[in-house]
Amino acid sequence: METNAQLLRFNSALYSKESLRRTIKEFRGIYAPEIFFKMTQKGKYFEVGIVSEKKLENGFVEEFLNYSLFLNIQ
Amino acid sequence: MRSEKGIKTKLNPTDNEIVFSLNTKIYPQEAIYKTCYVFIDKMYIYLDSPKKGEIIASLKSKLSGRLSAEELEKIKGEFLNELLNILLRNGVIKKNQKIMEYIVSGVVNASLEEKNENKTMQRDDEDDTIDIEKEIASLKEELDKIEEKNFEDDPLGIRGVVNN
Repeated sequence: METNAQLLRFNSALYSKESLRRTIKEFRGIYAPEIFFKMTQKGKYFEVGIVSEKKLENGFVEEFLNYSLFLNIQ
Repeated sequence: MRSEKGIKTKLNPTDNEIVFSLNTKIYPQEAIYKTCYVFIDKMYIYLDSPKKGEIIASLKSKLSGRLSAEELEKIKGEFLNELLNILLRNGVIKKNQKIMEYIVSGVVNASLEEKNENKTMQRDDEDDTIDIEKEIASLKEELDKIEEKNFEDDPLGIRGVVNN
């Protein structure tokens, strides 16, 4: 089984934990159980691990980044 | 990253991406956020701050076709222009904040006074209605008393007037 893993790093000064949590919740609601999300904190960065059973579709990561930023700005 | 007019820029035409740094002493974080909000429909945006006082913005076009270096630079230019626009707007708002507060509070107070006046007028109308109803009720009572009496008893004293 082909799995794809991505690690996204978000600076805690620019992205709040809450906005990332809400983004994960939103994407989980759409893509679970095919795509698994996990967030941890490493120093001043939040790390979001994304593991997918299949290849992530084009623009998936970018949409995730945009949505996180959008929630943060609101 | 190449530096041009103090803004370090990195082009990534394969990914339709341009990355540049912004000095937060000149472009505060809040203004950068607001600018990102304007561009978020057209671009994929990622922000980072590797060191204090600096924000790195990565803008990636959502368009499928490959953009040239000039087109990517144009996008950066538009972003910076919008950033200036927002900074100016923020400055004007800050400068005029007290005046705006006075105007708004004046309008709100005026509308509250108007509401109170309407309430008082409403109450006067209601009082008048109550008074009229009481008047009608007492007249009805009088009428009932008169109707109870026999006409021969002459309750209204008409005989006296007619005989005279």
